[in-house]
Amino acid sequence: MLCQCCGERPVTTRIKTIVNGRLTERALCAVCAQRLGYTSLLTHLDRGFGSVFSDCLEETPAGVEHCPQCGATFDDIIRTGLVGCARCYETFREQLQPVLQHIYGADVHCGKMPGENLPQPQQNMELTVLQDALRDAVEQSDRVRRQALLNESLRRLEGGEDPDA
Amino acid sequence: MHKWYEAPGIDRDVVFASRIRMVRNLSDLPFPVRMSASDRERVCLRVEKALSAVPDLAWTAAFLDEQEPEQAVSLVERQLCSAEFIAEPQGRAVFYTHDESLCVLVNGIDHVSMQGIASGSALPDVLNRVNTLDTVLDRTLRFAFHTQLGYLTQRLDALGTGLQPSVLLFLPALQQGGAVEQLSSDVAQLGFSLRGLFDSAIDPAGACYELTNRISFGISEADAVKNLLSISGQLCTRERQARTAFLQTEEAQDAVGRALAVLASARALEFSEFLRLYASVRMGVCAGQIGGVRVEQLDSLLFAVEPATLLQRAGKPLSAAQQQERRAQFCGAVLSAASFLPGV
Repeated sequence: MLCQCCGERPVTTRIKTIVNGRLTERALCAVCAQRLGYTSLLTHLDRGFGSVFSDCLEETPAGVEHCPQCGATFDDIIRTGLVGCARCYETFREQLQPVLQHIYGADVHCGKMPGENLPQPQQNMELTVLQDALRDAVEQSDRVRRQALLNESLRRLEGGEDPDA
Repeated sequence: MHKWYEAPGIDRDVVFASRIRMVRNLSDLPFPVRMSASDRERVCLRVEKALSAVPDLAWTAAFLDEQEPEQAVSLVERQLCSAEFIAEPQGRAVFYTHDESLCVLVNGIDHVSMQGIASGSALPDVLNRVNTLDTVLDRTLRFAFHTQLGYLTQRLDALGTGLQPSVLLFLPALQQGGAVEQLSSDVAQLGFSLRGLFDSAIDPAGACYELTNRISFGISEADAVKNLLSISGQLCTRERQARTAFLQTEEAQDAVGRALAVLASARALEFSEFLRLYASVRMGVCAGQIGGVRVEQLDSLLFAVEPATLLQRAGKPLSAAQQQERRAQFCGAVLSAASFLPGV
């Protein structure tokens, strides 16, 4: 089917609109959809859902894991572009995280938190993120330090040396 | 009770209205794509109960399953919901205040979509109202939230704040010069959309457009509004410059005068013809070339003569010819004192 607007290119988008008091569907090609403002955040970034997720798919055995609350698979989310329930975000967090980074260039919410009105202090959010990062760094550095000590001890033991000598 | 569009507003020559949409979901039920009929009913009942407990606000409910087609279309015409929302009416509902400045859509793309709208440039005020409603409803409904991801939504492009601020712009001079389509492509690169408000998918009529900030994640509500105001401010400046140049031409003044004459004295008017004339007359009113009528009166006229709303308010079936006559009568009444002041 050809675009109802230009009559030249194939249809990629269907739009519901009201024409003279009636609900009507218009079929548009990608070029006319863009010209008339009908692009989503994903399409204008030239990354449809399929292409955004394709990298993740290669690494993830799709359709294996089901969300325990709604039963959705990651495959369902890719196919429809719709997340099944709030729990899906936790279940498929690792697969979704790079997608968010692709779409928004960010991976942390920095707006309203439940419980009170705007404006809310943003420092709490930043502080939480920084504290998490610091904790991770300390744990990481602890692990590295402990591993280094262990390796050193093992080397000395293997060589018959007293590590405390 | 007056409707929101009857009130005067800041920068109304270009900014028709300011709108905030905020979407939320309940954490213990599947999102709409995976909901059963009983889930939808449950969401509707819970939202209705929560709304009834909101202080100082009374709500009118429209359950789409029970609406006649023109009643549902009238909701879209009055800017209470989208055409997409009424296309699949099962289990969906719209709750709105008497002045229609606040409304809550249930079981659309997300469980709950709150919308606030006000005349002219008023985004911070509208954000404040919607934000307060969100805070009150959250106490009862406990919206799905994740510390790192923000408010959880069915579509990834609303995740985070769940906020979509927009301004409804009147851009006749930019449309006349063919600049809107290029602007639409340009703003899309920045995460915005600019699309027509009436018969938007083929030939946007009435020179009314909606500019929306679609970035909801990694940015605060205040910054999303600030960015939108920055872009809309630039569009306003360009529209005013183009309008000043355009209205100085003999041809444009003639078009404004003719549009007023036809709109004020026609015996029958199709809606598409009304929209074309409305754009010229509104431009003339804003430039001071037409006196005796205020811009908010003209905008109220637009809402009154939209096809489905006209039928609904008539309270009886009307033939196509009767609808056109009734539309022309409304125009004649509003423009009875209007006069063309050429050369102003």
